[in-house]
Amino acid sequence: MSARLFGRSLGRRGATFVIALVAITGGSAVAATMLTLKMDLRSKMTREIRRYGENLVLASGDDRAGATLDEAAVRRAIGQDGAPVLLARGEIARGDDTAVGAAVVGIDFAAHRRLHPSWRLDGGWPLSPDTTEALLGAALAQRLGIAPGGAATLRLESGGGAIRLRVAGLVRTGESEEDQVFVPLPLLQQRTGRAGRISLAALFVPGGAGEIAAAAARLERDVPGSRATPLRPIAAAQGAILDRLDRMTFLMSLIILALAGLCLGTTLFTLVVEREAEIGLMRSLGAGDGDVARIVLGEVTLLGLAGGTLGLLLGALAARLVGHRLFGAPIDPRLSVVPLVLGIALVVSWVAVLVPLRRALLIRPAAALRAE
Amino acid sequence: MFLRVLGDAFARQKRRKAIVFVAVALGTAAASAPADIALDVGDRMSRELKAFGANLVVVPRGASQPVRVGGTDFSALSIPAYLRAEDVLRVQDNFWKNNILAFAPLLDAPAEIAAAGGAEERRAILRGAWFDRPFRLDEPTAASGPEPTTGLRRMQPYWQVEGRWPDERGAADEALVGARLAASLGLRPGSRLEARVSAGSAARLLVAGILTTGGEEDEMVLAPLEAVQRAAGLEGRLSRVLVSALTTPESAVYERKGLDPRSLSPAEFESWSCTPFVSSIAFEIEEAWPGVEARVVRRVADAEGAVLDRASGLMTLVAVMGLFGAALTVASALTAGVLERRVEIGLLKSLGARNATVIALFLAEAAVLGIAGGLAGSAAGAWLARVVSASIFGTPVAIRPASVPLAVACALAITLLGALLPVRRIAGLRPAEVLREAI
Repeated sequence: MSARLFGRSLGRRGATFVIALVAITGGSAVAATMLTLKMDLRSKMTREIRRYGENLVLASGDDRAGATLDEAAVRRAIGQDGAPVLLARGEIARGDDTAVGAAVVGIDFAAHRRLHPSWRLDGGWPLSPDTTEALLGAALAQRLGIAPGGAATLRLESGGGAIRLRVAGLVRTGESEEDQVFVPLPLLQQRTGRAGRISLAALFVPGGAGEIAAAAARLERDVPGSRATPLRPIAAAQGAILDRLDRMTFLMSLIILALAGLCLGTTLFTLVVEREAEIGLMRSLGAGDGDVARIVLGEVTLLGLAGGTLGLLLGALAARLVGHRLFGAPIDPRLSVVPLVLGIALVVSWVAVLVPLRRALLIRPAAALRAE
Repeated sequence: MFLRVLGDAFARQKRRKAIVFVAVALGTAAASAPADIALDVGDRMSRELKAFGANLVVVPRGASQPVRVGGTDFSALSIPAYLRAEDVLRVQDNFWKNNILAFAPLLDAPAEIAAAGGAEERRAILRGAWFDRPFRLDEPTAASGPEPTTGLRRMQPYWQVEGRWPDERGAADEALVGARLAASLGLRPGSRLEARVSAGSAARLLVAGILTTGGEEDEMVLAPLEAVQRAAGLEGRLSRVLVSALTTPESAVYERKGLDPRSLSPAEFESWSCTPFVSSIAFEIEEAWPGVEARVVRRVADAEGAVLDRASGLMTLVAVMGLFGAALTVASALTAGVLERRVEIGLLKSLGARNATVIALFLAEAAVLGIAGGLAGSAAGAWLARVVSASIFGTPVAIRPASVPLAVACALAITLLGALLPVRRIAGLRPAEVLREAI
């Protein structure tokens, strides 16, 4: 009986019912979007902060100049995410012109390219690590008058004759890299007689200060004689930025939820007003307060569940869209959001129905039926 | 007649009107607060962004920058070039003076560092800097507030100092010592050290604090600029100036344009140079200070741009959702209003009012509520933006007078849009039916 009444009442109240459903759907969609975003925000923002480059440097624990680490051990410890570096000093010149002193840095070009998305290159990255192709700092290149594709002669301080280099590209970073010469790591290792040795490795560890400190401790254990130094300000800022964005979206979502609750409340009130006669008739046929409350609450619960489910779908869609627009990668829906959003939808619906319910319980059969 | 019916509606339906009013106001507030914050999220997050470091470095034209790794200097052996210290205010005193958040002039000199009375000497960089120094761009007037200050302390809110920052105006020269250097020399806050620069005389410094940054500063001694200038015999000289500027993220297209601004057409140049892109700020600094090169620190600019873009994108999303929520609430509240007043509408119609008149009546009501709600909402939104911004970012957002008419116009549009649905019901109401209910 009450199930049939229910179905009919759902069917008959077109527009008002749709508004109530849209309100609760909208509220749940906002909740679902924000919750899904919140769960992915940290990893997505961390990826953006990655543009800064390394946040941890692994170097020899020995403070003397020229101390090195074993390349194989470091590579095992850092995996794909780190970039090994060997440092030397030398003099570079265009052809047989006057030479200029410069820091010579042996790097793994592929690894550096991954680690430093902010490097701007005139020309391109060297194609293969086995050649004598090099990158030149832009400021240094300007002083020497070398353009991308040009040739340079490098003499290392440790001796070993001239090395002819082809300059594949010029590096612009705004920092000291603009005064350095980047050559393939194996080449510099061989020419300085330090095969299999590196000066340091730079790497990016995702996460906050805690994760970075943990990674530093692990690296120092795995690479004997090394010292890992986190770039602390970056880690702190990383954490602070994420916290702020988190709190910001949370506060605003609360306001929007309150708005959805208000909207639902006024709509439910309308629904009750629309159905005064119907409720009056039920009362005159002997329905008590409990029966009326059960019907109203049942309807609202169904509404909440339906709206919550629709909201979840919409929210997943919105989160995907936002992920694409903001981070260039979709944000996948998460199962853990489902019970949360349905719970929020039900609680908001129940709170919103309180005033309309009071109104429904006040309906007197005589007054309501007189109008029919 | 129209006005009397309108006034009457407000006098009688106080509760209903209050709900619509609250809905419009809440919606406007929910949309305008995040919009306000989104508009200058950069100002809000400037403290966090500063931790990435300076996004501009001013060096003498063609100068090389030092390359140091783990205390070893790998720099090229070139003739050092210096800037004139008296010109340093030019980095701020240019077109973008309001976007320069902080700057710090630096002078680096290699020195032998030893604890006073200690035997052990370590070679390290002695860096002269401003820590937190008042400065003034224009002539002081009676009306101007306290002098702004700038220096490393302003630029690096996340540096950890054990002890305190040096007092730059005291009689004794005070210094910060990097944590690793301090550990190897056994220095603590309160101890004294001697720094001998090869070219000049020795500087005696009191250790005010131990500095931990996780960067190259951990191996340095940082002292007031003048003390280092004296010790190195480089009075009135600077190595470089770090500048932290508030910028607008730069698209790849504008970055390419910024590489060679003089090749732009006048119109392009104008739009480029009037936007606080990091490259146009660099350009203005170079214009204001001949002989220098302002280099954009790309990794800082990139990371900042990414964070700013995402943060303001999020806020925009929230603002759009707030607007959507407001439109819904208004629609539902107005629908309820139409339903409650079926009898009145029926009576008006039976007395000869045309549909258009009744609809105009309802729209006028909605408009009044929209404007009132919009006004209240933009006030509440400004307050909300202030509270949220103060609690999350620690700086209150400035109220923009221009946002009020915009918010009210939005609220009005939303209310009228929200009224469309219920108004369509008016035409369908039949006087006979509704009047019978009322008897």
